[in-house]
Amino acid sequence: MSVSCFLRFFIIPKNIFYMTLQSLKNRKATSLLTLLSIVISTLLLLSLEKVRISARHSFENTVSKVDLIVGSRTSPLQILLYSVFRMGEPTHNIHYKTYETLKQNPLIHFIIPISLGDSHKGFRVVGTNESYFEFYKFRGNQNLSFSQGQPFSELFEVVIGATVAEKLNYKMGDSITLSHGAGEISFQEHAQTPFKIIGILNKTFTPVDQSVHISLEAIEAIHEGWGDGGPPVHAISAQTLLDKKFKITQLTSLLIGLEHRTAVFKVKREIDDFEDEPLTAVLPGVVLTDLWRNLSFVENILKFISTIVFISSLLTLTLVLLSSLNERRREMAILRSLGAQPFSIFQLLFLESTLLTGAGIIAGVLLNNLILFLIHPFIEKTFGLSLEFQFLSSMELQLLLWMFVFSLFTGIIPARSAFKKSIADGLTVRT
Amino acid sequence: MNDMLLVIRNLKFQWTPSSLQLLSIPEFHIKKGEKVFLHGPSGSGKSTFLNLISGVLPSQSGSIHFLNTSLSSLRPYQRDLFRGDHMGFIFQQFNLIPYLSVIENVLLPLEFSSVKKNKTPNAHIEAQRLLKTLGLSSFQNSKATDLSVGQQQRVAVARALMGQPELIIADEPTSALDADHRNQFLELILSETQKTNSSLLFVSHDTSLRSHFDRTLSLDEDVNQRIRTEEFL
Repeated sequence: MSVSCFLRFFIIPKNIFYMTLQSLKNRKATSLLTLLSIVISTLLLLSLEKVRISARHSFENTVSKVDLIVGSRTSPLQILLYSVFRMGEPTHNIHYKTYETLKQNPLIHFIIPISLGDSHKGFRVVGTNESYFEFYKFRGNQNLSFSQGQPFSELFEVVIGATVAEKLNYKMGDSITLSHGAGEISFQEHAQTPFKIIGILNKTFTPVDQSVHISLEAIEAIHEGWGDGGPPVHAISAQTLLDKKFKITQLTSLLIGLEHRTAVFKVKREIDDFEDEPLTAVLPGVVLTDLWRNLSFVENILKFISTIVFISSLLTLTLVLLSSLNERRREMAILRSLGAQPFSIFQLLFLESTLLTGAGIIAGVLLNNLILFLIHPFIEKTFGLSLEFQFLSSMELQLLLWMFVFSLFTGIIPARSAFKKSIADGLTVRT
Repeated sequence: MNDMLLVIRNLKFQWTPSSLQLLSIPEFHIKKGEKVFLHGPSGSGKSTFLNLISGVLPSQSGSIHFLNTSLSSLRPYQRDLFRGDHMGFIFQQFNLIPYLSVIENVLLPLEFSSVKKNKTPNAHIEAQRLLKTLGLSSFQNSKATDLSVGQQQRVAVARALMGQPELIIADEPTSALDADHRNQFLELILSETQKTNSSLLFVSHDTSLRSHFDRTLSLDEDVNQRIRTEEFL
């Protein structure tokens, strides 16, 4: 076969292209409905992919630039859950002395101490110090920032996350009291020690938004006089506590940033082998990825459903074209009489399905971006999910290419059938 | 030999090796400009015969020469191109592509044949002229499906004449028309093919039409005398 003959098979002539467009136009209702089903399935697939990627990024970037999380000897997942996601309860605390010892380590750049155990109307209270506001980073390299106010400097000052302020309608200067324990309902209120809201953080779409931050000294202060897990018999006034110097004895966990990431395993081993008390050092990235993998069955189910929707759209298209073939046999015979080769008939049908799926996919992409643009403030506000704006990520592009390739294969079915019919019929349609 | 358009020798055809022979034509020819009437009962192989001479079906034995070119020497795609370049077709009914306009239907043969395209440099004007001649100028932008059967047949004539093909094959084009329209149609196709000096192979059940043609051919049930009568008028 000569080169020109070979090329004839791959070049779609202008006339076939024009006829395809006219044919689709002629069957407006069917074409539009088929197109719509492809647009919807593309939209569904892309939206799910966008949400999946955004959720994953959001999840994995809940905390960043932290190389190790240290807690008492327990499972890495548990340390991660209570230190980063404020979920679950720590089983043991670690000594403040350990924090001071680790601070002397020249390989360590910063340590954010975390002390947990109290709450405010269901929101976790985080005892920490100024290093939290200086070094805590999320989504890559973003620092915590204040929408109003500044970090606490006095004992009974509190900094609240954006969601806490929003949900409880708190303003700067409002006074709040904390509850003992982590539950939404507590029977032990630190009523004698009200805190003044001195700062409100900007939204981070991380658990920070749902946290109430006080100083480590304040944690000690509100538990002053508590013994055997219960409050003192005679309440201690806030003024008495203000006059007192507190010595911090215990912490829940430590978020550690290293001078050089290359030292991470060395420092981890040192902490895991810490002699003064049993500790566990966790690599947050590894545990976050593991955790996401465990949760990913939901995204896989959604992905599977949207793939099925897309396949069913393509099958609908194939079915529509196949069912129209019988009534189009006359048309094929006419084209054959005019000199059209059976392959031209193949091209005509193949182009119809390709144009429909191509147009459907493009319209789906555009609509997906338009919808995301319009509803992303709502999604962020309602679900705390920041949708990342990118017209087409490489993953989405890959997905679309797969969709298109798959559609080409399904398009071959009616085209091949038309090809065979046109050969069998020739110039005479036998019914 | 130069005035011969189509020459067939010892043509035989059967669908499968075990089936009965459908066609056996020792010799048959059509001269340039000749108007030939072909009739035969259903199942006598008329459609197969048309598919063979138009190159849709390859011949199994014997030869078909069209304009001194042996169709069996051509590859299938070359036969398709050859058909587009040198032949025009009119079918019984449903002749037009439903989603194209009347003028687009008439211009369609040029899209599949560079020979016809080259023969018709002012294609649009020629299509309009043909439609005017056939009394269809006011319908040129109408959808093909908006026309009556008779009008559609006339559009099919215009399309078949476009590019001045050497042979026009009309496969029972009058069977869907009433008597008045049938005669008008016949006059029209004969006069138009006369103008372009195209040969005409007119297939019909209606033997009363044979008097309008130069020659009549009959395909009957007897394969050994496939072309039974050949009479010159």
